[in-house]
This record gives sequence, C-alpha cells and structure tokens, in this order.
Amino acid sequence: MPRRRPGSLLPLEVSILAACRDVGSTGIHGFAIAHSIADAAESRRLTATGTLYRALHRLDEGGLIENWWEDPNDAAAAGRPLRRLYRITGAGATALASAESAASTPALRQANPGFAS
Amino acid sequence: MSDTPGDRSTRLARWWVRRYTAGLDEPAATFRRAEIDSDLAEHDLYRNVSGWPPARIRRERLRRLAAGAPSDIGWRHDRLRGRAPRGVGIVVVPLTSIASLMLAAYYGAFAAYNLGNSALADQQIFGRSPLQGFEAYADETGASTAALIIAGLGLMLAVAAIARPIAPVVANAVTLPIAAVAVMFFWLGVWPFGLAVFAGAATDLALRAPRVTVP
Repeated sequence: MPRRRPGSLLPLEVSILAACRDVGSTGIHGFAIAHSIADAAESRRLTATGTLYRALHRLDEGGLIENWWEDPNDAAAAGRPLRRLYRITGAGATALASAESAASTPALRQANPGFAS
Repeated sequence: MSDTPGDRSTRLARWWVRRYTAGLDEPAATFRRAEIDSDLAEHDLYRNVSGWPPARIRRERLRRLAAGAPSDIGWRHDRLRGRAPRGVGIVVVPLTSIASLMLAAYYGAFAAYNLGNSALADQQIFGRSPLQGFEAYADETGASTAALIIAGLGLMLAVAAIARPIAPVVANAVTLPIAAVAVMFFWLGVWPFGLAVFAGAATDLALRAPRVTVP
C-alpha cells in the first residue's frame, strides 16, 4: 500500500468516495463499492475484501463517509443478510473534490506546458 | 447459503473473519463479521447478474480473501492499538517478536551449519559425498535428531513471532518454553538472547492478562 502523505487520500479512498458520491444519499453497500471501482477501472477483479473494508473504516473514522444498517425488513424481504450502507459526508465531498483537482492538475500541465498554478 | 457456489470458500472466509476478530471488543467484532457476511452474500447474488460460473465466483472470492488478509491483520492491529499494553508494553511487544524471529533464524543457521559442516568434513576425510557423509555422521552421533529438534524449535518460534498479531497469548505460550530451552542448555552463547526473549514474552503475557479490579 502506498504511504500516505498527511491530509492526502490514497487512490483507493478516492475511488471509494467517488463511488459513494455517485449514488447520492441512498447509500451503497461494500460489495457494490468494490464492483463500482472495478467498473470504473475497467477491471474484472474486485477490490480485496480486507483492503476495501479497512479503507471504509478509515474513511468512516475520518468523518469522510457515514454508515448505517439498512432496514431489517428490506433484508428479510430480499432473503439476504443486512447490508451496511455508506454515503459520503460534506467533509468527504470536499476532500474528494480536492483530490480530484490535484490529480487533474498534472494532466493539465502536461497538456499545456505553459500552465502555471 | 449452503447451496451457493462458493460454499467452501464462504466457510473459509467466515473462519478467517472469526480468527482475526477473536478477542476484540464484541461490537467491533460483530460489526465486522456482519459486514463480511453481507459481502459474501452479495458476491453469491452477483452470480445471477454476471453469469459467472460457480468456479469463477469461488476463485474470485478466494483471491479477494487472500489479497485482503494483510489488511485484515492491519485492521485488527488498528482495533487493538487503543487497548494495547501501555508503557513498557509498547516497546516489549514488537521487540519480543523481532527477537523471537532472530532467535529462530539463529536456530536454523546453527542447525544448517552443523549439518553442512559435519557432512563436508566427512567428505574430505573419507571421500564420501556430502549426503553419504551426513548419513554416516548422523548414524554415529545422532546429529540428525538434534538438528531436527533445533530446526523444529526455530520453525515454531518463527511461526509464533509471525502469529503474534493474530493470537498474542498463543504466540507467547509457544515462545516461552522455546526461549527457556535456549537458556537451559546454554547453547553457544545464545542463552542471554533466549533469556531476553523469555523475559519479553513473559512481560507481554503479564501485560495482556485480564485486569482484576478490586472494589
């Protein structure tokens, strides 16, 4: 795993936040996040279970996402275990926007060598 | 979920989550198990959407499990950090692991050196091949038994040091007698090292013991 610079997000964390942002306030469960990340990367491999849930816990503890258990009636009706749902917080959206902006800056510089920040 | 394609891999995943959540605070452990249970169920349901054959679902689940195992251990460390032994324990716990691994490496190197040395010496004296030389030497001196014991102790010690994040008490229970063996037999100057490992493991064990509060 790459070393984290203070205040920065790891690529996986950016992907998780993006997946959470894309679904809005309804929330998204862990497996769907893994699937969303794989789709975005055009990969057929899903994020490793331990890696994904550890990152989710980090983001949760950092206040960048929030989580809750879904309504037990919904799970019972679908005949499956309860889903833990995650959604992005205001702080998470800010951090994501900042990370995406930082990621796009080198590309902008590459496209336009005269660009100065 | 007994009829799911990943039945065996599901059991393995559940076994693993029980292992690395063992001994944690019950809410955190229950939370993690439920989370993984949900993930496993969703993975099975994904079969209907993706059309993947059962063997592929199983392989993918095992891959996710294996690739994520280091993070699972890291997550456990994160959970334990808040309740890790304070003060001397912060130094003792990692040092004991490192010292145990060094002691294990010493046992292994000692066994390999003795075996190689005896076999080569025999080859030079009697013109036998190294293997024949070792066999002859082992017959005469019982060196193979001693080497097996030493290598076995080293292996156990290494496993105990590596397993410390998962089961620290079990790791200490293995480390203590092996370090004691090194001390008791005064092996080639390694006994002070063994004594240090023994003291470290004993301290670690004492720090992890449940605290009894007297009212």
